[in-house]
Amino acid sequence: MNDLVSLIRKRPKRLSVPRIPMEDIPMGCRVRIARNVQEHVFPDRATPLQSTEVLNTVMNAIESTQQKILLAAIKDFSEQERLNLFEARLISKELANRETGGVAISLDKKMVVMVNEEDHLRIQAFAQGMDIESAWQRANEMDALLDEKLTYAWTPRFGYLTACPTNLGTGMRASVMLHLMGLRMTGDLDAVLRSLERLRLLVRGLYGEGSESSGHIYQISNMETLGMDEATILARLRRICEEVVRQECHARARMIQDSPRVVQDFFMRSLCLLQNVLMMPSGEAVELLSALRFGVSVGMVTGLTITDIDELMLKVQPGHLMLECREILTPEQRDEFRAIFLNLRLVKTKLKQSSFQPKQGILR
Amino acid sequence: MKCELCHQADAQQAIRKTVNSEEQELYVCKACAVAQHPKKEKAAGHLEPPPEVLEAIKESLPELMGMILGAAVEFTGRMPSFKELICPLCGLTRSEYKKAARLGCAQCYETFIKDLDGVVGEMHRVPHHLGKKPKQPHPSKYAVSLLERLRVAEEEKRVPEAEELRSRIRQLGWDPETKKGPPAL
Repeated sequence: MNDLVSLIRKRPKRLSVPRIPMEDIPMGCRVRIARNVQEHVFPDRATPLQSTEVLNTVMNAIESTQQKILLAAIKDFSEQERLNLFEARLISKELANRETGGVAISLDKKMVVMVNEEDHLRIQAFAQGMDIESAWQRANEMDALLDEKLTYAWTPRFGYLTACPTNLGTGMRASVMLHLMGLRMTGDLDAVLRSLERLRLLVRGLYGEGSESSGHIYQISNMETLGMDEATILARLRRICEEVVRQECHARARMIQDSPRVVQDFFMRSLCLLQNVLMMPSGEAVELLSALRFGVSVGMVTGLTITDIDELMLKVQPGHLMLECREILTPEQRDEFRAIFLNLRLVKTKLKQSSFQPKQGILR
Repeated sequence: MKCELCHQADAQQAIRKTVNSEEQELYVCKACAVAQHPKKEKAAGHLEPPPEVLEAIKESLPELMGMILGAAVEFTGRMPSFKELICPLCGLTRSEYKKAARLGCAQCYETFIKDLDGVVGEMHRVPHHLGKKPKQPHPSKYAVSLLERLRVAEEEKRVPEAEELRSRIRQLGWDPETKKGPPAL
């Protein structure tokens, strides 16, 4: 027993700070543009007949752009398919529940047009990491093509008119998804999120408006859409998100330096649960995978990549899980299947017991 | 109380009269009131329906109002609110807009402009648009197509259709005669 105590005392309490890879913190970004067709009543106010007229007009316009796009009416999708599209963040929950809605998805799934959501058109484009400029370019190209076919509701003073005045002007909402596990562990997260709100940025969960954060993944987007042009909004969002990423890197480094055993224990607990339990709810699975994501990023967890974890976070969602086993399951059956699925997928994942050997990266 | 002018008949109503450049309120009988304001009485007398008709109207008034309100509720699906601002294109009322904080169509931005001025200022620090513009903001293709249909209907003398088209064009804020659109906001 005395030997064990002396062993613990001999272990260095602080470790040298590894280089934290900044590129692992942004999990992706999105730019969404809201547009309405002039003289047509907005979707929330329109009758089913009026909505169908808009749906046909917009779908014809999208088809005539001759882009490589799949077009479909929401009512043609089953409940299961709608759930999968929502979980993959291709459509919103609101659109999934609209019988007169429609969707156009590019073959590479990097651009989606939602028809008859809150506004007649919601053009959204996705990009990796924090490359919001590429996402904007993609959405803007589609917008320009549709502008030639449709007459948008626009005034010189208010810009593009939207159902909700919060989206007026550019109609553009750019968002960056950040994984802020380090700030959570140091206890600085709340202060950072409060300061973002003071800077007039919106902080939301993984699935946007109205969603709770899970796995310490936050979607940060511009609040103001009027009074600034698109380039200014994007540059401002990028500047602030880069600062948050720097703070997250510092928090991760601080945790590893000051409390290495706490961090190691945290990874170990998460991995043990993911590999051994018999029932696993989706929320808990995302939380635990989020912890492993931190571990993989700093080189502490091996046998898995960041891309694998991001893919697993999607696959443990109820819709995708049922797609995986090709059967409709009850919530209890899903929890059981999820536990088995994760046990098998993480069988080769291990915790590196030696000192931290993070991947290449830069700590600024 | 006796009439304050003839001091004989009972006073029935109050009138205002200028006595020595000072306005006074006097309680007078019906004859004196007519003598003071003959034109008013004559006009009122001319318009006044017979007492039995008045009585019948009074009796059926609540029923009539109930029928009108019932029909309005059935048609719109909600209680009508008098003197309320309503969007001519989508029918959104001011109270509905205030409740949901969402607008029903592009025309609502003109209809509720007074309310929006303050709201937009609170939401966005600079309440004027900067940035992208559509390639063809004006004229509206839809309004132009309606104007074209109106021209054909007028040429072919389809009067009811032309009248309906004029009404729809006006709802969009356009003038069917001058063929001009609404002023830019």
